[in-house]
Amino acid sequence: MKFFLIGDQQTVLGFSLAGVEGVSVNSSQQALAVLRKLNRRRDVGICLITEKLAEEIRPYLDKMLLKKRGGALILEIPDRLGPQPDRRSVEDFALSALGIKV
Amino acid sequence: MSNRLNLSVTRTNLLRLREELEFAQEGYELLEQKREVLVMEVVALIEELRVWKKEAEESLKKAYRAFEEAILVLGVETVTRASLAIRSAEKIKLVERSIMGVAIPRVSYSRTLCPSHHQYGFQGTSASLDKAVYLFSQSLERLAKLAEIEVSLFRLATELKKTQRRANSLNYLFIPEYRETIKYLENTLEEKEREEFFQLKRAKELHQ
Repeated sequence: MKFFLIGDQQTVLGFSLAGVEGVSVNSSQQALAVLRKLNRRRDVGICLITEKLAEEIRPYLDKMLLKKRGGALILEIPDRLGPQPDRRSVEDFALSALGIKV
Repeated sequence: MSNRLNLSVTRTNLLRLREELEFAQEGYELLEQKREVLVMEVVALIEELRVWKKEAEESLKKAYRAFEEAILVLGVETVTRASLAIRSAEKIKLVERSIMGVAIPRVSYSRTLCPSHHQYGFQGTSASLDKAVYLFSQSLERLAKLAEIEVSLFRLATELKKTQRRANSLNYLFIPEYRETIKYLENTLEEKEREEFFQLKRAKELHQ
């Protein structure tokens, strides 16, 4: 299996230097459409998505990560401008599950 | 005081409730055990996540910087043209195992080509492009590990939340409710018994 990337044009071009197949999207609707199509593909193991896009479709992403067994893993990555400030990370989520307020 | 269930006062109901209470208590104990295991896993994974996240972000930052440099030197078009020649050298394999019913992915990563293996022509490209290519390939390996940890942590933490909610509702809602109802049924049944006994006694006395 291989990587796949959903992001802006620059990020897609950057990762294509490592041979990662990617689709550049401009809106969350497009990102959703790509993700849905991805669900049917068996050759994608890890789907990278830029944090900005992920933020907009978080409910769908969460559902996908929990429901799909054997589906692609989804990882959010920062784009060229660095990590998004005040974004709720998985670490914060885990800490809140432990009962530690963040 | 908790509410009690609205049941008719019969011995059958009492017996049934006692059984259900026992069942609920057993369930609560199991959930507590599950919670403990999940907490341990989550704590361990958070530690791991911190380490790998930092590493992945740093290596990605480096790659982006090299990428921007390559674009500055060569222009977007040349970089795009070179990228068309590059084939993926990464292979990942996903295996899932289960902790407490949660699917935990394990990613094994391998590279079929050496990261500095050239797939595009030397002519018209420069060392800055080679550097970007190398750094992106390198960060992919870290991202693979990070994906494994983040997804595992997310799934485990969600399961932990669910388990906690269930354990709490058993402990603070259902079990007290059952206890209260059982106490009420016992008291009422005993009261009825005494009443009957007394009536019988009176009847006997009258007949003598």
